Amino acid sequence: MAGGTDVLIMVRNKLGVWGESPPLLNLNSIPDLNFIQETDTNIEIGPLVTHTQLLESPIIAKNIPVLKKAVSIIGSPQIRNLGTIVGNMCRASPAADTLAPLYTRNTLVQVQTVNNSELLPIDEFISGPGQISIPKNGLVTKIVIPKLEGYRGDYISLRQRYALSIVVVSIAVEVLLSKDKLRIDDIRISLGAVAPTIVRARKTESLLKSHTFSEDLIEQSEKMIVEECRPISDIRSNKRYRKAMTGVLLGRILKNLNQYIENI
Amino acid sequence: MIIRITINGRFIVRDVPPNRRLLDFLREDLGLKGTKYGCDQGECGACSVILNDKIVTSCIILMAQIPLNSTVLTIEGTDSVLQLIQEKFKEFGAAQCGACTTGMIMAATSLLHLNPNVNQEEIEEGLCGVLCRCTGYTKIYDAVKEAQKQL
Ligand SMILES: Cc1cc2nc3c(=O)[nH]c(=O)nc-3n(C[C@H](O)[C@H](O)[C@H](O)COP(=O)(O)OP(=O)(O)OC[C@H]3O[C@@H](n4cnc5c(N)ncnc54)[C@H](O)[C@@H]3O)c2cc1C
Ligand code: FES
Ligand code: FES
Repeated sequence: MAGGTDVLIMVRNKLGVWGESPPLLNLNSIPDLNFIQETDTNIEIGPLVTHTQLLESPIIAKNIPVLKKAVSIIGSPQIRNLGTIVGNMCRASPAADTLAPLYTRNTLVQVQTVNNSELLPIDEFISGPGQISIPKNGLVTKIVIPKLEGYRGDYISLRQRYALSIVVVSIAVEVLLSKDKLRIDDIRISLGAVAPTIVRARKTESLLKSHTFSEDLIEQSEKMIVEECRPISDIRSNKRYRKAMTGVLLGRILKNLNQYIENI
Repeated sequence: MIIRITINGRFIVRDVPPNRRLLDFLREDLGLKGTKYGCDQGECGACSVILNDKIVTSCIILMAQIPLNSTVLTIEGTDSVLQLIQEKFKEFGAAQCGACTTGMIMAATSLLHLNPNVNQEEIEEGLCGVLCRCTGYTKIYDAVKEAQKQL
C-alpha cells in the first residue's frame, strides 16, 4: 500500500483479493522510496511520489508535460495529496489517468524481489484489467520514463463531470515534427478505457508517421483510429460513443498542433 | 504503535492500532466530532482535514501512514484563516444542512493558505473534492471570495 486511495476502499468494500482483514505492507515506512530524479536519458520516479508532488515538480513540467496534464485532472486535491503514480499504475485500471502518457513513453517498470530486480516494459507489466506481472514477494521500486527531445503532445480525457469522476475515453499523443515543421517524423498515440488495458493505436501511428501534415491526413487518421479500437459498453458509456470519440479527440489534438505550426 | 502528533496546536502521544483511521482517531479517540463522517470512501470530502499543510480525506488514511511529528488542523482549530472563513460562511448563509460544511471550510482554508489570491476557477478547483447537495455552491464561493478580500 502506498497512498491507500485504491486499497483501503477495496478493503472497506471487501472487494478484490484483499478479503476482510488483509495483511498490508506500508510503503510509507520506507522514506527512500520517495524520489523524482533526472538522468541523461530518463526520468525516474519512486513509489511514494504523490500526484501533488508530480504537479509541483519542475523536472516533470519540463520533461513530461503530457503526464502533468493527466495528473492535474485526477480526483480532487484531497486524492492527489494521497494517491501515487505507482499506485495508479499497479491498480492497472483501463481508465487510470496516468497510464496513457506512460504508454506513449514506453515506460519501464522496475520489479524487485529479495534476490532479483528486473525492468519490464509497462505493456508487459500490466497484463490485464487489474492484473500486473509481479511475483508474490515483489515490489515496484521505481518507474523509468525515457526523455523525448523536441516532441509536443497533449492529453485529453472525457468524463461525466470534471471532478471526482472516471474516464470514459482518454487519449495521449506525442509528436515529433521534422525541422521544417511540415512532416510528422514520429507519433505515438495511447488510448484509455477502450480496451481491457491501455492500448497504443499502432495502425493510426503508422498512417501518420513520415507523412506531411494536411487536413486530409487528419481526417483519414480520425477514421482509422475509430476502426482500430475495440471498446466495450459499461455503466459509464457505450461502445459506439467511445469509438466515435477516439476520432474526435485525435482530430482535436492534431488540429491544435496544425494550428500551432501555422502560427510559427 | 506509539504516535506523536500535534492536533490543533496540542501535542499528543498515544498508543493506537496501526490500522486505526485518522477519521476514527479524531472522532472516537479525541472526541473531535466536527470532522464529519460521510461516504467513508474518499468521494464526498466531508471528512477533510489539513495534514502537514495538505488537504486530505481522513476516512482513507491509516494512522500508520502518518509520519512521526505530523500536524493536523481540524475545524476545531484556531487558525486565523479558518476562523475568518467560518465567519464568512455564517454571514453568507453558505451552510444549509451542514453535512459538507466542515469539509468545505477546511478545503477553503487549505486553498487560501496555499494561495491567498485565487480566482473563481481556482476556487472551484480547490473545493471540487467536497460535494454539497444543498447550496448549489454559489454562496460558498461568495463566502470564500469575501474572506479572501479581508486577508
Ligand atoms: C475519490 C477518488 C477519486 C479518484 N479519481 C481518480 C481519477 O480521476 N483518475 C485515476 O486515474 N484514479 C482515480 N482514483 C484512483 C486512485 O486514487 C489512484 O489510482 C491512485 O493513484 C492510487 O494510488 P495509491 O498510492 O493511493 O494506491 P494504493 O491504494 O496504495 O495501491 C493501489 C494498488 O497498487 C499496489 N501497489 C502500490 N504501490 C505498489 C508498489 N510499489 N509495488 C507493488 N504494488 C504496489 C497496491 O498493492 C494496490 O493493489 C480515485 C480514487 C478515489 C478514492
Ligand atoms: S467520508 Fe471521507 S470522503 Fe466521504
Ligand atoms: S450544506 Fe448540505 S450538503 Fe452542503
